[in-house]
Amino acid sequence: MTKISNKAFSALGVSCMFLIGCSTNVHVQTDFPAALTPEIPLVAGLYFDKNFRDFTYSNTRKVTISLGEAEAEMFSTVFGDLFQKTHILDTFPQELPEVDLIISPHIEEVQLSLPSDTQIKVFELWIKYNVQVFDGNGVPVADWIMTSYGRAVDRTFSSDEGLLEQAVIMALRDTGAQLVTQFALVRDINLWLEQRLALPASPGPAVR
Amino acid sequence: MRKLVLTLISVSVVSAGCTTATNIDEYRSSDRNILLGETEKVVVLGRRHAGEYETEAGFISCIGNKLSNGNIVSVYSEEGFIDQLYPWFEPRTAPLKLARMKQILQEPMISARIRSLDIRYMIWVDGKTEVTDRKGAMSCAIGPGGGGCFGFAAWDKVSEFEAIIWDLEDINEEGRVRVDARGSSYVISILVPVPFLARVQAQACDGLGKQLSSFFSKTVTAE
Repeated sequence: MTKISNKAFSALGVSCMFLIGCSTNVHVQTDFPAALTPEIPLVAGLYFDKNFRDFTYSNTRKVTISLGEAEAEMFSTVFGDLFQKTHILDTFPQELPEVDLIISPHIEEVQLSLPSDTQIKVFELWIKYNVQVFDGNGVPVADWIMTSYGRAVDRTFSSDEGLLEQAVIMALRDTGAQLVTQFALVRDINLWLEQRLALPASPGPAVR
Repeated sequence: MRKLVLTLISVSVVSAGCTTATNIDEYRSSDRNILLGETEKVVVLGRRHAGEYETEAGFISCIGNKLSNGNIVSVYSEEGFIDQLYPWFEPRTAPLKLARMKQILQEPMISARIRSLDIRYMIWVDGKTEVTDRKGAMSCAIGPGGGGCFGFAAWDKVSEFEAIIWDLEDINEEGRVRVDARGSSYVISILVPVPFLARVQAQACDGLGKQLSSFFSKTVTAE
């Protein structure tokens, strides 16, 4: 009995080793650079729901990419530079904080293209977001659908994990680039900002 | 005597096979060299906007090393520059034309950051290295008694790159250098593979780096 158990245990161990060997797991850990951007003189609240914070992409090819932590880091860095002040919110909309604007990003879809799919030596990643924007009272201002793109060219002696991580970092940097250059230009956000910032009786940025 | 002839033939075959041919064309907007001030720096950036290829970061750093070897040009790192100017030099936002660069520099934060880094000139490099032709075949086998390979394989590589020098203070183009390098590599194998590799991209880097260096001179300060 002990012998059978040992054999079964060994077989299970070997199977696990094979399974681990065939899968690709990427956990992105990087620091994003500060954004060089003029500041919007408002206070923003950032709310990352559980789905966003723990977002992990996986597919049938045993590729797993843990995106949530890096996404939250990137959004915090960029909005921290884009607004005069930002707060990370723990709950929303149960408790409305005293801020001018609330931003809550969601990942709608992730698409991955591997060299084995396309026959070209490129790893490509698309991330589709819905960046929801609310005013300080929790009234919706805009649903901004945005897609970012990253890629890494396959080179000799590069590992799949390394290339995928590079493609993810490129996609996240692209997200940041769009937030900086396009956030205030999105029609509904632009209208709201114009109204909010042009109010003559405005007490200025609500730093609390 | 027979050994000497065989050796000579082998050497000729090897050198003929690995020879790379490099062509360099240049355009200068002025006959005079670009005078670099004591603290002025140059940044070399690779273009990564095309769909099917991107200029390799390794090639950009190779050109940077060639440029700074002559002790005339001080080169700021590509990665550092892109991070310092984030997000204005990402693939989506980087200015590919001088008119767009001029527009970007009108943003005071951006021009102030570039000035604070002492960067006066920017060199855009665009291009790639690709395998154009493959010939021959090689097969390898392994068994209980050992293993080995047998056959012959050859391939041609082409490197084509263009560098454009921009003056970030006067917002104009100072010159262009175009390089193309070609070479054939092959592997002969009778049990053990023996490669003869043409260093096509390294030749392109060498040619481009030297030619770009010739654009610059250091300002001599009077004592």
